Amino acid sequence: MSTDQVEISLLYFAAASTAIGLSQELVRIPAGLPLSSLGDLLVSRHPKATALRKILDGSKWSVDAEMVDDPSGLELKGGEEVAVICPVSGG
Amino acid sequence: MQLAIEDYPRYGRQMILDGFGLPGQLKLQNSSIVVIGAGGLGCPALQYLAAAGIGRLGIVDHDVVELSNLQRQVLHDESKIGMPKAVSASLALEKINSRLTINAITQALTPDNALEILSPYDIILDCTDNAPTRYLLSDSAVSLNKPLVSAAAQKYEGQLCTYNLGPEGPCYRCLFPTPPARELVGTCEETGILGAVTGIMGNLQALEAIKIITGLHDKKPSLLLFSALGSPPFRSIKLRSRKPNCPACGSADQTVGQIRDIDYVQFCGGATPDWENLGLVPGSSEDRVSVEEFEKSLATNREEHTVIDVRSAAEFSICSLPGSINVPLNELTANPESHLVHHRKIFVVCRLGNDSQIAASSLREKKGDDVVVRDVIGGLKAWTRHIDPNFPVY
Repeated sequence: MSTDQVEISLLYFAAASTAIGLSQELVRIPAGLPLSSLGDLLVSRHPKATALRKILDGSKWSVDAEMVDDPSGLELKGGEEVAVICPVSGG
Repeated sequence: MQLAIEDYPRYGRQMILDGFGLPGQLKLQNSSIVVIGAGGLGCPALQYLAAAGIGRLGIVDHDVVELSNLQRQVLHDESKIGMPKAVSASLALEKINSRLTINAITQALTPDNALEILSPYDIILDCTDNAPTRYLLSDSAVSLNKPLVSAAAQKYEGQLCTYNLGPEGPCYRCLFPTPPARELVGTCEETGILGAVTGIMGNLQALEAIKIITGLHDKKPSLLLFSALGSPPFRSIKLRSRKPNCPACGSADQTVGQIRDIDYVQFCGGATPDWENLGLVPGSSEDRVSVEEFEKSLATNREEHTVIDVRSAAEFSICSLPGSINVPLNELTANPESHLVHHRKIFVVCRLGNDSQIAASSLREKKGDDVVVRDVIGGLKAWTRHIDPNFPVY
């Protein structure tokens, strides 16, 4: 049932990692959470990371090392490794 | 074309590799690569491409070499300060391999000249440092039907991706259709960069290009993430193929329009602000003080003043004014009340005089009548220029 809590592993890079102050963490989510709702959950989990919403809006999600094109079409079952991929432009 | 007799010993170590051989070397010799940006990524990429024997290299960069470049831009040296980077890099490459053709282009790449500058080459390397040029290069690579080997680096991290490779390879817009908000994009000067990190990413670009030319590339699209402090340090993310509805490379009629009509700077949220000059804007005399007034106040009534330096702890550790206390901007704005001292005059400083204005205004919102808050025009850079030339500039 979707009320079950499961755990996923989050990886943060570049601007997301700077804003949150972590490069990875384990996050408990309701089983079956659409990937498109994960952003809201992370924003409320990290209230001090004020730029996080904007950063997520400009980023992509990858799940288990595969880039996701349509986050609303993907439900998280638990156990996945989810990465926030922000564009980096420096060099 | 044959390999010259003196090139056999030069390239022997790579020619004896399985899958490489003389055909591999001849492919390199007959190929051409244009590298946009002769900086932290471009220098190591060019160094390995030249050493490996790429027949013709183009180097596009309109900047000149500065002292702050030498920590990572390894083709330049102290004798080249003030010289165009494209020229400096080509002189260094000629010393490595005098048998190559090298074209140094000191023009800036623009929507007007991009296709003309890039079209004479087989492969494009994106070694730039800004979002507008990244989108310009991606659209140009799509238009010219050439692979774009792109890397980026920031702080301790890097990204590598080859775009537009083969008929199915995605472009930069497939991955990032909208650029990040302008205020979220930091330059190397603002956020910092470790030279060895750009070195790794630039080397990976050279390797990608060599794999493509010699036919050793599997052509599967992926984004490689490097995190120097991560474990594991490398992660490869599998990418989808080209998006049918991508405005640049999709199968629908191209909707981005003609490259020369696109304002890439505007698309990416406008020009990078000139923080140094913005920090020097005098503002209201009730709020801001010059470094001269600031120094005079400190010299006369030091015990009545508190100096808050809002740079990061790392920057504060590089240099700081005697008696100043460090409260990084984000900590101060999160909780300004706790940093107000009653019956005091508070001076706020930072590196250039921008963050100090944000900090000072958040303090003023919470202060009582017994506290005066001033921020220092031009920050510590102005302090060095006008008060103490021995105070470090970084």
